[in-house]
Amino acid sequence: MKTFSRLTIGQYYPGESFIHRADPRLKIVLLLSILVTLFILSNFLGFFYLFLFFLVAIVVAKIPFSWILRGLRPLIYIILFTLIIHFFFTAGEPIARFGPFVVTEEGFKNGLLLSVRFILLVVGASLLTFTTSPIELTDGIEYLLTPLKRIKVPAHELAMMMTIALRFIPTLLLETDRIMKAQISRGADFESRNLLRRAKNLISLLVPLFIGVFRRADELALAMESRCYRGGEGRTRLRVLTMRGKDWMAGMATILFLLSAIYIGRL
Amino acid sequence: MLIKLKNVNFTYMSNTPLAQRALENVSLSISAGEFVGLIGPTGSGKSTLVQHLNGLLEPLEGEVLIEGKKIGGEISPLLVRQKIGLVFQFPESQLFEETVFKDIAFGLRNLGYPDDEIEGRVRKALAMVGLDYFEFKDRSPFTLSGGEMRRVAIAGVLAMNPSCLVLDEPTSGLDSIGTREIISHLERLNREEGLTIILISHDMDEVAHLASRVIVMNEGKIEFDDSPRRVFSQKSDLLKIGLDIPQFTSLLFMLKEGGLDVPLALFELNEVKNAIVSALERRFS
Ligand SMILES: Nc1ncnc2c1ncn2[C@@H]1O[C@H](COP(=O)(O)OP(=O)(O)OP(=O)(O)O)[C@@H](O)[C@H]1O
Ligand SMILES: [Mg+2]
Repeated sequence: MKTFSRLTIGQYYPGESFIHRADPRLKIVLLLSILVTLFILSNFLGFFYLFLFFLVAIVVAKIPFSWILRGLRPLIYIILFTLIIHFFFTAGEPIARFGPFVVTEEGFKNGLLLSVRFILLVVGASLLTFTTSPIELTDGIEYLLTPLKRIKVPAHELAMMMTIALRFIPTLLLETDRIMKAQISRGADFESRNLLRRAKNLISLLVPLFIGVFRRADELALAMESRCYRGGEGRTRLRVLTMRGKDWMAGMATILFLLSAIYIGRL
Repeated sequence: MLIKLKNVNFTYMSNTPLAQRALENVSLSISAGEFVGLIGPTGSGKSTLVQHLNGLLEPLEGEVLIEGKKIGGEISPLLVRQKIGLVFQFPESQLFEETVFKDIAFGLRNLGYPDDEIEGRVRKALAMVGLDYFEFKDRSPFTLSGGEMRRVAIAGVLAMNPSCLVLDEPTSGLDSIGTREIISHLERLNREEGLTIILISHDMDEVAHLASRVIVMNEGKIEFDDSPRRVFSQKSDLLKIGLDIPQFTSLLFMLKEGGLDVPLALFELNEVKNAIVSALERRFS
């Protein structure tokens, strides 16, 4: 279970900073603009600008750097893979040679650019999840999807499903841990070299887990219905999202900054 | 000595901002044949402690010895799990096979027992929890009542023929009949088969009635480790850490405060009745 508890990616880091309190809709829109910017940028100077921007955001949000780094750790292999593929398999001017393999200048540059882009992308996305509680996040997504209701996109239902899924992830992890330990106590071996044995043991975990999930879903549906839940129609909200003056200003400033980064980063 | 813990320390998610100290310098030994009640308020580390006994958790510091051999080195994990049978809270949620027979046999198959030996052991395990072999062996575990499911789950651990049975709140969430069934079988297993039992419970009457020794945990440390009589005489200390005392003990405390000369730590209905009657006789004679 160690792997589960060490993963920070997608987690919420509670805090009281300006970024934590900003309107989730603003944060989602800004994240999307940052992602677009990342794909437009094509040189290191532009990326450096964005890097500085993230640095400031991380400091303002008071998120420990160790959390950011731990969020990146699972991606090391993907990044290494990208780098290697680009280093060795891009045509162009050779700059180094390892046996039969040739590293080209273009490959070197493209590989680095792509990796940096990827890392910044993940850092940006983690900044959103670190500073926004799952409930705010789904609220924000629901608001942003509302215009799509006209073309029959079930915005409220999608958001509700996401809220429920997010809510039950920790519960499921705990349940998995508990059942695994119970079966290990009966001699099950989930790390056996013998694949057949391992698959069989996995059944002893999955069956109880699924039964638990269905039972929970049933109970939850019943609990929601007995409190008169009937979908999004005419439903009022406990937390009404509001854009404060500060939010508008920060949003404008970020957009301006991104535009200037694009201007510099495209040269 | 069947089980020995030496200065065990444990912290969940150590080296992270979410670190949570759960055991602090826990030392204890348990010998064969004992019936130990393990009590303590919520979050005091009882479940954490028992997961150290069969190697599910490894101490950060200190060591756990089973029959004198250190877990993680001198004795294999599989053997530890055979010797120390651990029944988790709500064990019915671990049932997964199509029939009761197969589910109870799961542990035996993992230990590598041959088919012909498995049948006898399943039969014995079902008898130990008071279920009829022919009536239950082919039923799906999911069609049983809550109490029956729990007894089948306990049988799944008993089938592995452990020297020590550890149960984490085995009666929580059961009705009084289900509770009484399980309690009476535990009592019998300890008395007649000499099985060592460690029982975590929030029910002080249950513990006082069953255990020959009570260990009280609080905030990861062992607060008391003594006979039920001595432990439950510490009324104010127990109340302070958020625990109750058995009903009978409460009654006797009240009578004593009211001026009646009765002994305090008695847990059997008859003992208590006799003590009160003789105290009354002494008073009015
Ligand atoms: N998987 C876990 N991850 C992190 N912390 C945990 C975990 N399990 C338990 N803890 C913490 O360790 C401490 C001891 O928990 P434990 O489950 O051993 O208590 P307990 O005495 O069994 O309580 P209860 O009577 O409620 O079952 C608690 O503070 C708890 O929050
Ligand atoms: Mg517990």
